Amino acid sequence: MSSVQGVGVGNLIWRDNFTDNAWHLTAPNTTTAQLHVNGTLDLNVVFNSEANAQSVTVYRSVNISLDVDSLVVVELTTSTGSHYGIRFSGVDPSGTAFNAWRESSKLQHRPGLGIPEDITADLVAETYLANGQLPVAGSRVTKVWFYLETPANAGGSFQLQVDSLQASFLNRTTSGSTEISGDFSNILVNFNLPSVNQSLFQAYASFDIRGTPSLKYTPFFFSGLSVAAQGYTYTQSVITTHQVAVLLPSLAAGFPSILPGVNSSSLIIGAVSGSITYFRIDDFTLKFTATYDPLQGTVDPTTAQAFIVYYLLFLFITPITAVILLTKVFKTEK
Amino acid sequence: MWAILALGLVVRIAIAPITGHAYDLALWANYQRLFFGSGIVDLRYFPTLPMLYYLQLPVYSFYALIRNLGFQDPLLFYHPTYAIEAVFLKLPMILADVGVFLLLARTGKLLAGVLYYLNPFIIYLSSAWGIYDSLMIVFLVAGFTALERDSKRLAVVSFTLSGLLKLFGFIPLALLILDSLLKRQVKSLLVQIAILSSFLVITFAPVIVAGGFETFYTAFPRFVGISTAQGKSWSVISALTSSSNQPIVPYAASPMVWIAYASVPVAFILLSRRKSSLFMSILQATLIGAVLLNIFSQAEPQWLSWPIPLALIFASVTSRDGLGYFAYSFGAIATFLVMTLTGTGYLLFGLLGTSYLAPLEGFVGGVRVYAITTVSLLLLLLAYSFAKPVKFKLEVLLLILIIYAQAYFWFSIVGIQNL
Repeated sequence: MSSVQGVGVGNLIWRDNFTDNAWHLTAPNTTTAQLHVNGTLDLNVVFNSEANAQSVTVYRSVNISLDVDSLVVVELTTSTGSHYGIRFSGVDPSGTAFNAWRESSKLQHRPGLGIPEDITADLVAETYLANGQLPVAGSRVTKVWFYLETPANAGGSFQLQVDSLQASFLNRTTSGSTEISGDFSNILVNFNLPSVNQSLFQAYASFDIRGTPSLKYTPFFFSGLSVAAQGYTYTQSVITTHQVAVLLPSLAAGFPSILPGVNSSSLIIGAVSGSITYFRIDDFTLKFTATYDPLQGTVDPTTAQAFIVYYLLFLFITPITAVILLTKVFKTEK
Repeated sequence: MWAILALGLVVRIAIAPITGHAYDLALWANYQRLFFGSGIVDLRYFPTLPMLYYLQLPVYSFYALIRNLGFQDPLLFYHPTYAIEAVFLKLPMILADVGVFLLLARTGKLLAGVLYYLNPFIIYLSSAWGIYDSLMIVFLVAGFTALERDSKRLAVVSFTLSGLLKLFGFIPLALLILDSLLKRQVKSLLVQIAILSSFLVITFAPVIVAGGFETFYTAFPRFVGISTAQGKSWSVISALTSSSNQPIVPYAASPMVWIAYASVPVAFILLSRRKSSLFMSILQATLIGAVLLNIFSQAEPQWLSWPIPLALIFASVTSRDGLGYFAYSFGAIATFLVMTLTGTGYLLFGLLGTSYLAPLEGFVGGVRVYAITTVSLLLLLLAYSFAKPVKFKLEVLLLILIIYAQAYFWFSIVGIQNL
């Protein structure tokens, strides 16, 4: 292991005070939408029930450089029953526009909870995930927008209230030892390993962790910039701070809110909610295998059919027939 | 009896080489290969109680030997283990099935033995899946056999071994200890605690030496229902309360699991007061525990096998043939449900996401259909066990078919969960 890094919010780059008229609204005719910007951003929408999904968007221009690691932090509350999301887009030095959001991101189509939520987005990571490559030097995020949506055949009155929107430097605190304390959204453990090329079966991370009461976290194992394995999502245990998390390639479906190193293997403990205040890595074990990927591969349908018939013959037909014969036909005479 | 024994072995050996739960078999193979290939006893992250590892070691040694002698084992489809290797990994479970059959047959419960040994679900778990519930069950049945013969110490040893394979085996042991406490049989109590402690020490010493105790310590909450990890759930409560078609919940955090835990000692005390024998009281209370844990905890599909041998023993000693035949049907239907839930292609070819038996597998709302049907089966099993004895009628199967069809219609075709 080469280092343990705690990643959290650093110095402020930009903050929206919600006092100007920079925000714009776009809404379809089937909705009634009102936008108020006065210290907070309040979007009130009445959706009529329609055959298709509907959405209302508010957006504004920003200017945040991607040359530095930066984190956008949003505090908002959304009515239950609706869904919402936050998106970013930008331009590279040649003026070419790019999206910094993707459909499958945790930032999209989030269910409204009716309670205040803190949402963070690492802009470099989001740009990488949207485009499959790191942003070129000089790229900037130029637009941010929120949307409120309802699925098909679901109408009603909903509200999105944004209390705070700010961009800050991503503060990386590096520890030379195996433990770190502070207020972090992610823990990044860099291993002195090249990217893992072998077929990974499972990884075990043994660590101590403490955080704010709402802390919920997911471990990820990265080979370069690819998620090689992912763990389950954990809440804090009241019994112990120690956790042994198993990470499996088959669980790898998500992505944390930060990017690891490009050419190394690393473990990221990503807070889904709350923040991590203490972390100590005890052990990390990788198990490799020659196992095939269970999601890839085909079997000739005729062969498959023959095997299924054979399987069912021995699993069901033979034992059930034998039991019927033994209990009904070959019953001992009394 | 020997013909039945041979038939049961034939069907198991016919299935075992071509099937396997890819993830579980990969785990077992990984640890055995590590020992026989490199001499490493790796118990630090062994994912289950270590008894399974110990039991697989001697059996796998024969496979290691024939491989060293030059045997070329074929690799079928996308399985993580070789064909004959899979047989050897499953062999302890298959032998456990044989053991249960012999135990029941030799104690005058031949029908119960047949209905267990030729039960598709038991065959499916030990020979197709490769899961080790049969190992827990063989010691559980041995314990009840000993208890029926008033051999309490042998029963304590058997239940301890059963519990060291799967914690469920500790339920009858806890009831035996509770009985000694209630009757203030101090000597008996001390003997029971001494047996349990010595087996615990012997079993866990290698794990502690290997540094695996903390792993077990953090895995233990999952076994007893207080884990904070979130994973897939198959329980009826999660299936019907979750908005997702594939409920993701804390692994075993069903708040209702305490209903199962509390019901067992209460049932035991009530049954004891009705002047039931100790054997019958513990058997019935354990059967209730097996059913309630399947309903109220985040039960795994293989747990459905737990009530089967208990119901069969109970059926045999109370001459409830109806219960015996229902327990057999329960297993056959459970096989169909679990097989279609996990996917035939996974166990046969090692492939996820296939649906060779579509539309019976891989359909939307499958977890809900599975959960509703299994809870109906479990409640019927309780009714057969504790209501007035009734003959088994095929109409009961029709009733379950209707429940399955109704659940399929509403959750898969209409999709009421999305309305």
